[in-house]
Amino acid sequence: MQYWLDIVGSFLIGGLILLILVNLNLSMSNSAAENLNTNLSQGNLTTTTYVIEHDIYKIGYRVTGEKIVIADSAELKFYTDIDNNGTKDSIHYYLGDPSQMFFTFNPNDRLLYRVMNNEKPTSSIIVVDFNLSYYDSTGAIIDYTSLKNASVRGKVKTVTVSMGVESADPVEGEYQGAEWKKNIIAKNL
Amino acid sequence: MSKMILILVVGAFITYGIVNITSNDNVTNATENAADNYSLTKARNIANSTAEMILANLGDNINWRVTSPVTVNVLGGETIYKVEDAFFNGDSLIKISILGNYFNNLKTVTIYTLRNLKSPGFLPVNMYAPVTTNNNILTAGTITVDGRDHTMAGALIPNKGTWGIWTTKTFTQKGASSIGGTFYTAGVGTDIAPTKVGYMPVVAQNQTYPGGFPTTPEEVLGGISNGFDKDRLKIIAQRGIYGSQYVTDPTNLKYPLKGITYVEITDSMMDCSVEATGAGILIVHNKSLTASIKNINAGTFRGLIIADDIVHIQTTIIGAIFSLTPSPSEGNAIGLGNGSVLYSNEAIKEATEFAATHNFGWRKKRVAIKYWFE
Repeated sequence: MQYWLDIVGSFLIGGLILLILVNLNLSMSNSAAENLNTNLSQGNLTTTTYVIEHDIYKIGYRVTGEKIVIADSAELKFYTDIDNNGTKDSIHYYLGDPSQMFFTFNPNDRLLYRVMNNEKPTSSIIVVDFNLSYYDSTGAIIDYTSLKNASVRGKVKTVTVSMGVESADPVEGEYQGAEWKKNIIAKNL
Repeated sequence: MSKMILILVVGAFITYGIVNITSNDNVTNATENAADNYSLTKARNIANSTAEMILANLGDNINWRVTSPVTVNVLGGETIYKVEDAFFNGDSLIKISILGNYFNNLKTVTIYTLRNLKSPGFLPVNMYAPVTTNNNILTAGTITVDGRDHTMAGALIPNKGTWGIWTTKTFTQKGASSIGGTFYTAGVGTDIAPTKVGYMPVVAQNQTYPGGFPTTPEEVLGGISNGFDKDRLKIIAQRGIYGSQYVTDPTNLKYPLKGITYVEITDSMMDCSVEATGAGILIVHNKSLTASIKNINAGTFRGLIIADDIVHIQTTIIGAIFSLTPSPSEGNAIGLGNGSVLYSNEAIKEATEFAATHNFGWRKKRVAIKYWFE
């Protein structure tokens, strides 16, 4: 009798320990996956912000005449001498369609394209949110409708960029992400 | 059985340890990433702050140069800069080179500026006289309206002025009031000192304002085509740029006036001072053109006064005044006492400097930045 009690007791205690350990490992795995995704998102975001800041700070550099040619909520095209070689370059940012990202679970992720001059559009930037706002010299926001007019675009002094990235796959139904927002005063405008 | 559990426990702890280390690595990477981003931003701030200081120095002395690199500590980091003459993009310019350093995160900024100080102030295209009105106008008492050009200090600049009075209706001179100005023959100016008689060559009556007489202060400065869309001046005043003020009760004004002073009232700003520091624009206006400035009896104003209705100038105004209403509230008299309105290109340009569209910063008015590369 004592022998069987030992066996059953061992199984119960062993089973409980096993369950606790499995649960701990699952939690740790999820936590690690979340950390990894957040880290990747943050890394992607900072890399992207370097590129965007690098470009937008230079809007209008060594350019005479029209400097911003498209200014919309998620699209910006401008001229600058980005490589400081004396030749005017155009930089065009715009968002792709969510359907292009059919191979990820995240329904909101989209490609953010950066096209320089007439190069073929390429993108390695995946975002879930990309929004641009434009302000004049007094800090007043300029509405998107009036920005279709070139003379109004000529008043833009500050561009506010807000951007969000999320992981491609969820962990326990949640997408891990990071957000960034910055007012960029383009000194050559 | 106990061995199996032992193996499982040990295995689980090894798995836990590996996951934990990986997780810690991720956190460390994220922290390093954030720290790098912070440091780079800090390096940029250091470089740009140095740029502001250098531009301020150049604003005070455009001939200031630093041809050997100078290292200074700024915002907890270090910056190295040079200020030298350079030929760039076909222009002779001043080149400012800055390297911001924050814990070995580097940011370079290169700025090219013009070699001469430049003001963005301007003379409004259709600013014709020290007194411009859209109604019949009368001067009385001992007021002096002088369209000859003057410095900010009121010193005469010969033969460079304009009309004494410009109106869409008629002008009447009464009492000891005197009118002066400059008239031009084949482009050569001739001054007429303020006088009670013989002022007609410098008085323009029954004129037609190109495009219709302005009904807003922005239109006086050239309107949309000159960058002054609806309520632009009001917005600048509301934001307090360069000490500008926006009030709906004139008793709330703080003196001396600076920048753009925008008084939006439905009645009168009465028995008032217009004491101003430097030059500015004083606007007394509402959409019905019924706001008036009445009995200006204290202070010296240098700049531009734009009001719907201007009644009784009894102090000194150097610059110009512009009245918008076609129906003055108390007849047509702009002056009864011993006031004087002296036209001044310099004061108007200084005044419009506050309203001009700048890129940023106060010193941009003085140092004209041509290129900024960072």
